Amino acid sequence: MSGREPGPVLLSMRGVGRVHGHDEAAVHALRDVDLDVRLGELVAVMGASGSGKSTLLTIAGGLDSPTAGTVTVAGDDLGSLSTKARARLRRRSIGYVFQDFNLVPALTAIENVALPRELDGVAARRARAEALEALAEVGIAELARRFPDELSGGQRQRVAIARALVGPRRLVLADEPTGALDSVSGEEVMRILRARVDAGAGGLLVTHEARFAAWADRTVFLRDGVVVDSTGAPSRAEHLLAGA
Amino acid sequence: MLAWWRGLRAAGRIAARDARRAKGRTALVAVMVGLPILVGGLVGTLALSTVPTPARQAQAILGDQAQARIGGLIQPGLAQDATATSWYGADAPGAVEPVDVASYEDALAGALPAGDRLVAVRQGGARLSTGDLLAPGWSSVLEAPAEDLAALVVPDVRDGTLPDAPGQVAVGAAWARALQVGVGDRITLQPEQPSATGGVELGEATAEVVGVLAPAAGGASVYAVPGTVLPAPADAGRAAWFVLGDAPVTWQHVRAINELGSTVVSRHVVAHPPTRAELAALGIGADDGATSAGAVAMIAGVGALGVLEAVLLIGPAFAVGARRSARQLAVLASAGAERRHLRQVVLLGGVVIGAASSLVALVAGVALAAVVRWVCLALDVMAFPDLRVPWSYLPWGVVLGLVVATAAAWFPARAASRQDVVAALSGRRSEARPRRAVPVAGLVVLAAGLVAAAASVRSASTPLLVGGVVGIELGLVLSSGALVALVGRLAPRLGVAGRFAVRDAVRQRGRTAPAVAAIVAAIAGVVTAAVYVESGEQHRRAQYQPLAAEGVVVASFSTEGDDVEARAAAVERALRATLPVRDVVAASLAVAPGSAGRETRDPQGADLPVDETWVAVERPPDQRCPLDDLLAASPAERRELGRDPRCVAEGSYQVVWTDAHGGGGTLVDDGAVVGRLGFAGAQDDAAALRSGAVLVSDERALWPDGTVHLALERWDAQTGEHTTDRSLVVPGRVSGMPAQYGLVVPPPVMDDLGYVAVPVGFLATTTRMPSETEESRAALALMRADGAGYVTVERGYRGEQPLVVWLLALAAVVVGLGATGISVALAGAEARPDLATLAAVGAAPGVRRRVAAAQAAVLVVLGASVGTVTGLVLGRVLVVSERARFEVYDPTWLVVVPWPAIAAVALGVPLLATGGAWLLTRSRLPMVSRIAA
Repeated sequence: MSGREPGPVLLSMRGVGRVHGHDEAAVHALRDVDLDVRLGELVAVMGASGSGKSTLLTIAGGLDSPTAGTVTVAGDDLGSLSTKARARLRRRSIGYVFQDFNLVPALTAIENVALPRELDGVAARRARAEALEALAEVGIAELARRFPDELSGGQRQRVAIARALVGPRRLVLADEPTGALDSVSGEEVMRILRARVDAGAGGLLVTHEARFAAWADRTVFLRDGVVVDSTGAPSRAEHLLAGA
Repeated sequence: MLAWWRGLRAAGRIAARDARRAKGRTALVAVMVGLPILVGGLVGTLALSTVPTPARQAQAILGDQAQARIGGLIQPGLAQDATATSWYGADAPGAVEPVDVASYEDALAGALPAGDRLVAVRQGGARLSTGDLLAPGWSSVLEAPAEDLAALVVPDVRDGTLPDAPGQVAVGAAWARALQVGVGDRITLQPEQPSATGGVELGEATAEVVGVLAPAAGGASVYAVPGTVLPAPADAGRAAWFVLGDAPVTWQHVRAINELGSTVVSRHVVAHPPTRAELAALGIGADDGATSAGAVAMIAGVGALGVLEAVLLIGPAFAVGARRSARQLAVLASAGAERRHLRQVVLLGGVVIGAASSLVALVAGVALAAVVRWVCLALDVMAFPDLRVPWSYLPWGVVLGLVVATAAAWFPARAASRQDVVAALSGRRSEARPRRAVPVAGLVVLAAGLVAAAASVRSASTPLLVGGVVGIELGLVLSSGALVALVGRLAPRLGVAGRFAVRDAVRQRGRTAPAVAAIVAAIAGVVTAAVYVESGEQHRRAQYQPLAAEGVVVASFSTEGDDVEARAAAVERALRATLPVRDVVAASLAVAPGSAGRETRDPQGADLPVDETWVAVERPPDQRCPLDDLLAASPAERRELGRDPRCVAEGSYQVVWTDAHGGGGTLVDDGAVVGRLGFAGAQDDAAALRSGAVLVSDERALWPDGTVHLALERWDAQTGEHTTDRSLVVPGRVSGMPAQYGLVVPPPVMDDLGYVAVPVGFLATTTRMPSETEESRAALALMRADGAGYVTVERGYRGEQPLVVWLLALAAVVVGLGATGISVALAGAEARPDLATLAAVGAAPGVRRRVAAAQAAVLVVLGASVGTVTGLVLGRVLVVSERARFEVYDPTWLVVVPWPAIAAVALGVPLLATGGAWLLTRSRLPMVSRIAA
């Protein structure tokens, strides 16, 4: 929870809906969702299983397309972008953090982190340098040359976070990043995410644990694909004291 | 461009490390890619190694010391290539006046380099025998002065020494083994030498074996000093020389000797051949080795089908690898990888494995070839004089391996790039929807292939035929997904295991369709080949024209010279002494008076112009082939008219008895010979002859009134004119004999023709089938009785063993089992979650085995049945197309199906595959847990 005012809107979702299947087999994963994430803001999304949290995240990152509404990231309407352009967006602007880490087992930690940059055509040396910076940012620069199966769960998640943060990426999408970790490691991960957001990124965090949602500036509640409630910055104690 | 390359490097790094991590799958792909490359490297190296290097070529002819070998005088102004393999002169051979040896040697010596000298040798062929044994074939004999012999002998002396006096010989190891002789034994040599009448006869000499030579590539079989075996050359045309000395015989020297009239094999020129331009200036062109379009199409077609088969077998391994990496690929997508990056990860796996395995396989193939050569040398087999590696072709082996592995990874790569990223990230299993365009394209290609194959039968076009076969196979491969989908309709009628297997096959067509296609392609190919091979064997059996019934002996002797009667008697005695003969009758040919025993060659050996006469059989007008009346027919007309039954040829056959010119004449017989030949209706044929009728083997030659029209034809050697002297109509009968007895006349008809009978041989019936040893002894005895004596025992058609068909069946079994095994093994791993669910709901442990067996059965029964039907159709197409391959239509090509071998494939492969899957699968079901799909 930062005392800074959030910056401009980084991610904007308007009237977003997602339907799977047709006719009688149709499933409404999302209905008419409006959501903004600003630079310097961490937004948590909570809800029961099947409420549409992960669908929201995949649509926000351009991995899936909504069946209704618009999604804008850094001013680009994802619906108007080609598959290639959306992939480019994920290399340069959007970073994903998954519950299961999803590191490439055949690559070392630094290679995993450098991957988006290398895929973007950055020279290997420069990509590795940026990756090392990102690993230092999450506190595990000394583990750069280890393979994922040589790291603990917490360390792997830090590598995943570093990969999500490497380069000029500003929007971090985290899907249950603490789900596979013990409570201590989970707190560490949230601290890193929070620090990154405070440094100027925007974050969208999916979680089903309130204690991790408490790290966010706002929390949005989903049920059956619909935003049923939202808690925001005004409820923070610091804000109450502002201007007093 | 740079960005593209950097992204490719990242994808390549992942692909290479994945290949190292999945060792089992990588090894499987590497073996399947590398094994054919290894075989190619092995066979290619061994094939090239059978061709001697220029140095070896020279050594094989010249030994270690001679600079050159000069042949006898042919004609002045010759032109030759570097090895004297091809040469030509302006005039026809035989038109040169004989030149004495001494004066020609003087001329040759003047053309040699300074310091070199000529060594006169005698070279020729001889039959070798001992008292009991006749070595098969002709040996090559080289006689040289004793002081120079050691320099000219090519093989090493293994036992004894080289000859140093007349009456001694050194023989090659193979000949010594055939004659069972060693140092100190005596052998008989019968060289070919000119006869007094200008022909050729066999001389005879005996000699002591003083040395046995080691096996070698090249050189003569027998070495001796002059005066042992071969007669002295009468003139320079029959002489030969070697050149000994230190100075090389260059191309200029060779040309100078060519101008004198001899060919030269020079060590220096073989190693430093003249340029193409120099040869072209002499009118000697390189051997273009023109390959027919048909041969190219055949090789390309077989190669393409082989690559397709390999791709189909390897593809599923990549498909499963890509599916197992689905989550990893989805992570890459989430990190910003485009579809091309995902494709590259899978494809580069194929590139890496293909390149590495091909390289290793090529090296292994060449190494294995070296081992094979070493073993052959140890066994005295000189098949590979030098180890020659086809370096310029080896890179193509790597390219081929790359192409196969990359092609196998192509479709899995495309599927991986199109996967549902979200589903993969969330751990859900998803199946890519099959594209309808592929089976439709497959049906179109299949239809085109059928049309092309049908068209090739009429047009006898090999490229069209090969295109049709490839199109049919390719069409079936592309349609295999649709075939699998069709099988899916059976699911509701099956039990749990069967229903599971069928639905799994339909839903995982990326894995099952290639396996089905591989089985279809393999079995179709094998069945096609088996039908063709069996039909070819039956065709050869139908074409075979026996000389007589089995066990009957046919012998002939020369009709040249004045002592024919004495030789005939000696031949008859030899037959009776060596074979279990029952009775012997003489055979005679009807020839024009004065033609028997005529001089046919001049003293120089050139053919003398003599008139030719023969008896021709005229067919009725309605039985004449229409082609005979066409002055010039196009190939299409020939093919079309060639199908007319009147134009079908009687086939080729071996001439039984020959006249003075070496050609087959008209047999004259009163029934004694025909009655003993033993063919069907022999006694009726003999009776017809006794009644004065002639026998014809071709029913088209018999006129409606039961007569045969004979015409005495003559070819005038002076004018080149062909005339009919006279015609004769005689009673006739169609005999049951083969085409070599096309016309048999009784003595009265021979008299009417104005011909005379000339004895040419004997026919002997036997009390039992003579053994091959007895036949060999008879051959030796006849050769001693008459140098040109010949005997053969009719043993019936001896076809090829059906080994080829069974080897093909074995190949189909291996490929069928391999394809099924790969797919079922891959399916087993993917089906773990489903099997765990089955266990959780109470399925017995044996269900797992039944599921595996059912999965195997779905693939292999579908593939084997479609493949067998396709193979039978293609086999029929190939066999029928053979009928019109040549301009003369050949209806004896019949479609013959080797049903036992086909059944072994069509039934055996499914049984083995299903049974193997059942036996080799563990029966314990996995437990339900948080299993990531």
